[in-house]
Amino acid sequence: MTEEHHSRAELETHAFALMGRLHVNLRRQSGRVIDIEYMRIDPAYCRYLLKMASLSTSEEVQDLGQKLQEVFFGAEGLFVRTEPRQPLLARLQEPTTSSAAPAAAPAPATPGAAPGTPETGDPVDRGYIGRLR
Amino acid sequence: MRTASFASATSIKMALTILVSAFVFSNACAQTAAPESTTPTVETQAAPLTMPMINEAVEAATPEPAVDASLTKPTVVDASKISAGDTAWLLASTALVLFMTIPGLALFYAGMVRKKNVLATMAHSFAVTCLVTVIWVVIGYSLAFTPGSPYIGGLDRVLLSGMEFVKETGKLSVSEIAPTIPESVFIMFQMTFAIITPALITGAFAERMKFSALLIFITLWSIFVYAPVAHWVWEPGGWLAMRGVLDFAGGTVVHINAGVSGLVAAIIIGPRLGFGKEPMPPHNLVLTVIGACMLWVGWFGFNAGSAVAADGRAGMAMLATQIATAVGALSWMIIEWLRRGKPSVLGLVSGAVSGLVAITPASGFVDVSGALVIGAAAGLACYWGATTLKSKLGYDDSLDVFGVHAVGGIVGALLTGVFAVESIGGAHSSFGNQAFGVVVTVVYSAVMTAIILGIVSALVGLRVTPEAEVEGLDLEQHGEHVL
Repeated sequence: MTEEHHSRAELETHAFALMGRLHVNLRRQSGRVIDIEYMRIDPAYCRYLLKMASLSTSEEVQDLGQKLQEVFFGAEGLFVRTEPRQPLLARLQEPTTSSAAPAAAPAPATPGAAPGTPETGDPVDRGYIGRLR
Repeated sequence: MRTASFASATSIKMALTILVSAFVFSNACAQTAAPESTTPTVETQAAPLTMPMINEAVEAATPEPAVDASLTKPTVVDASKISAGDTAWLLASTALVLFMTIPGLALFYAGMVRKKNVLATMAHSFAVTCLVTVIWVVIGYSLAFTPGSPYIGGLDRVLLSGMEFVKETGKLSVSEIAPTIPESVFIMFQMTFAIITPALITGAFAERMKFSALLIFITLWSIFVYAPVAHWVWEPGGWLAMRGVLDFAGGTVVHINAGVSGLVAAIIIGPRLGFGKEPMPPHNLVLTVIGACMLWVGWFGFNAGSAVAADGRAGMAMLATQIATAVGALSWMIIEWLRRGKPSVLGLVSGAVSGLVAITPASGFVDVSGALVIGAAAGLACYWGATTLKSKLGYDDSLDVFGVHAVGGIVGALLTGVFAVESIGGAHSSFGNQAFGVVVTVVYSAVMTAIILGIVSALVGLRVTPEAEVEGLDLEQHGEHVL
């Protein structure tokens, strides 16, 4: 494993520790149950929970929210940093996979929409740019 | 080879011979059995039916109330003229059509918006229901369903004055359009149509219109657009009705009217912030599917109820509705599967709604083959309307009111002229005649909607602020939110 993999794994562990504490605190104080697995993979849900934490009356929850903000959306945050490069063999297989992918992926409806679209966005969500159906 | 073809020809001949013999034999049996049917015995009555039958009209023990076809305006009649069966079906249909708006349409739309606008979107349907109820009894019904001029009804029924029910004397008023049900039931039934039509429009400008602006817009639209168009098409003295334009349950009055108004409103109000640049995914398609299912069931009241009787025509309308809906869903599914590689659930329910919309004007006029073609055409046309057409023109019709309701309504209205069967609906039209009705409705609806929106814009403004739009209408307009 590379150093990058190590630091990423550490950050993941740290994030889950913080999310676990946030989960416990929120449930104890307001009865609110959050989904930390989903929080880890969905930036929108994560942002929503962090905003909720920032509005909390509990200092501990606010503090946890700030730390998680840094872990997820800081300069080297989990939702910000680029993915580590794939192993060589996986990269060699990429052209075959990627050539098949565009056929199934919905194309943006509005021609001008493509440039503004983040490349790392959820492919399902990107299908809803400029159209609903 | 030659022997094989000879054997095959022989077997075909034998099969034909057997079929013809069976047909002749069954006819002979039916003819010999016919005289006995005039004096049925207990055994023949108890015998199970082995094939579909057409029951000739026979004099029942309790005679049905004679329908007075000479009525030309709402009239007070004796209670004996009322049909209990028709009334019961219309009462049920009224509940079904109201169920389409709340909660059917409210859920259908709420599932397709972003989470921050769910309550506001549901509030639209609910508030429209309350508002139009009042407008309808104050003036809407009178303008739509009393004879006045060919272009607008009279004021005889303002505040429903003249609508009678006197239990002691056994007298009550009926509409000339539905002489076998109490006028109160007819008013309620038509009220549910007046409710769902503007509620449909709200999908076009969802997620950005002020609630106050919505209320004013709907008030004016209901009086100045819905009531006149309903009068033209459904009141026997209306100018489109006299011209022979067919609209059984509201393809023109409800769907084209709402769809075109939605398009005009979407263009005038403008696109949502970030439209075309950022994804706006539906937050909960489960709600949408549940809403669509409610719409499907409720639509039986909408279409079969529009026969204003519990009779064979209502049955045909219900059958046509079911068929066109299923075919609409399948055709949308197939075209989407072919073009995008996956049949989406939203596409499936959208196809069903497009089939429902398109069969609405035709349901009491067409047979099974007509329903099949209309359903298939609607699925394909509405798919095109909600995807290709929308993308090309670039308007932000949030929930595809134009793409589904206007396009589906136009397809249904035009094909009614092609597939109407005179023996079912007692009327026939032509493609050109139906097209005339479509064009008139499109133009009137578009122009009047633009004028009304101009007035509302001058009074209170149409859009919420950009900050409010980012924050979400639930919190900004209603002070609530969904967790």
